[in-house]
Amino acid sequence: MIVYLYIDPGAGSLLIQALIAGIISVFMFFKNIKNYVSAFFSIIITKFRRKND
Amino acid sequence: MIKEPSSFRDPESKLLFDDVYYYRKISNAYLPHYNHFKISGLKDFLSKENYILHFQEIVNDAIEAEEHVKEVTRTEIIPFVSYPYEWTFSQFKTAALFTLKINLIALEYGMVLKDASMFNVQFMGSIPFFIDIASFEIYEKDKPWKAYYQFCKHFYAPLFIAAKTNIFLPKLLLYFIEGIPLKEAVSLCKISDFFSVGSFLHLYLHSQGENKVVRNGVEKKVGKMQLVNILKHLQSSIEKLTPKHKVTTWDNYNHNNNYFEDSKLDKSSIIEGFLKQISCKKALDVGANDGFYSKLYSDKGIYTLVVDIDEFAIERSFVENHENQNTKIHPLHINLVNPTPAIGWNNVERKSFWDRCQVDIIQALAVIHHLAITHDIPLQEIASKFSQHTKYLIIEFVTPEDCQTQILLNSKPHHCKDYSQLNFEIAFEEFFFMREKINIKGMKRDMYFYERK
Repeated sequence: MIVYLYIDPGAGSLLIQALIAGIISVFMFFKNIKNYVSAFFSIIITKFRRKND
Repeated sequence: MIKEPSSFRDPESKLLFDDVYYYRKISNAYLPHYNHFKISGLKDFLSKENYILHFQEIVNDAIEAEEHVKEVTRTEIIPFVSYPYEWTFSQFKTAALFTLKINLIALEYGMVLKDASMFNVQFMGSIPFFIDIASFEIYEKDKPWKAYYQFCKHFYAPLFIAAKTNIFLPKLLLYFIEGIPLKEAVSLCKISDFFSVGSFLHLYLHSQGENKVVRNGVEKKVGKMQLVNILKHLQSSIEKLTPKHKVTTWDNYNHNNNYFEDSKLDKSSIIEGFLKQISCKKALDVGANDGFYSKLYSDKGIYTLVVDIDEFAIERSFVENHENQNTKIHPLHINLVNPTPAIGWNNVERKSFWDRCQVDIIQALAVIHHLAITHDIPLQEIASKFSQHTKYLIIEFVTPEDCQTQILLNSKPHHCKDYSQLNFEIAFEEFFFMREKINIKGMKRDMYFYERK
């Protein structure tokens, strides 16, 4: 049985932080790609609309 | 000088205070970090933006004679120290986002917050500022953020459970003074609450590391960019949190009630007339709802604590005043019949509401009938309590003939005898002189202006 009173509850957080940091970095990478792609298409759409106007 | 009872957790920097100033002792161990804080320009930047209080280094032989003390800094006492369990949802959210912002700025200057305590943020009116300059330490390459767990316990978990379950749950911090354990927060939520990336990572997954036995020397690396990503992700996750809005009794009371709408002008001019006669610095408006009448005080430069039992009414006050950058209106979600108790080590670490509340004037508009009838508090008790905390008192007496009082008396008929204007005056005049008494036009209500005997 683990006696919680003798454990620093935040110690495990330092380990899991590395995992969370990794997941967020991957998440941010794809999010940035999504943002670039949507920004690219919104520029093209705006230009296309201006031409048509 | 007196030792600040809440300043004992950080051995590297302790606080003292007197009537005018806080004094911070900087220890030998903290000195390199403190020097970096100054030399890097972080101190000047935070000071310029009013993110921290302006402070100066002083020479104090008595303090500096103590072992390990290398520097002493001094800042002015702030008008009111409030605690997170007294904040509204948006106030809490503002404090959380502010802490992240401070940490991101610190990283730009090669420093990082070594702790992320919710008590390190205070409000000047409705604007947050950071009080613990000894929380900054020099950033070490690839080190995980050691305050991440504390940040999630102190800010993310209370905000998340407030948004997903019940807005009152941050009051659990009265029991969990060191933050809500992540597993406890998770246990209060539904599985579907963790379907977003933020809640899954920062709360659910994070809670899996809580109370885990870790062998010495096992430490993972977190790069600076990864740390910045964590902080920015926390920011965007917290920004998305909003509470489910329930319609409460006092929500929109000041706006939707024709009965009071007509009397607003008259009541405001009566209060202004009273205020012209005296000079005040600090006020407490109890039962203030969204703080409509509190503005009469803040407009005169009076620092005003706006207190109400209704979370959503006081939330509106904070949101409005925060947007207007108001540094004089300090909204607080407090139940006057059960105000914040003293908690923490020795029951002095975090003071009770009344222990922190000495003001020049108390305003109590249309609350006396609720205290005396709904909550059965004797009129003399109310008068005595107010007299212990203020010199002046503006109080609205709602007569037994008033239609709102009639509703209350119908459910509590045993108060019909003791709740009378005569008994009110006898009770209050035991502690106060009556300076003025004015009837509110067209209403069975009177405004009293009292001065303590």
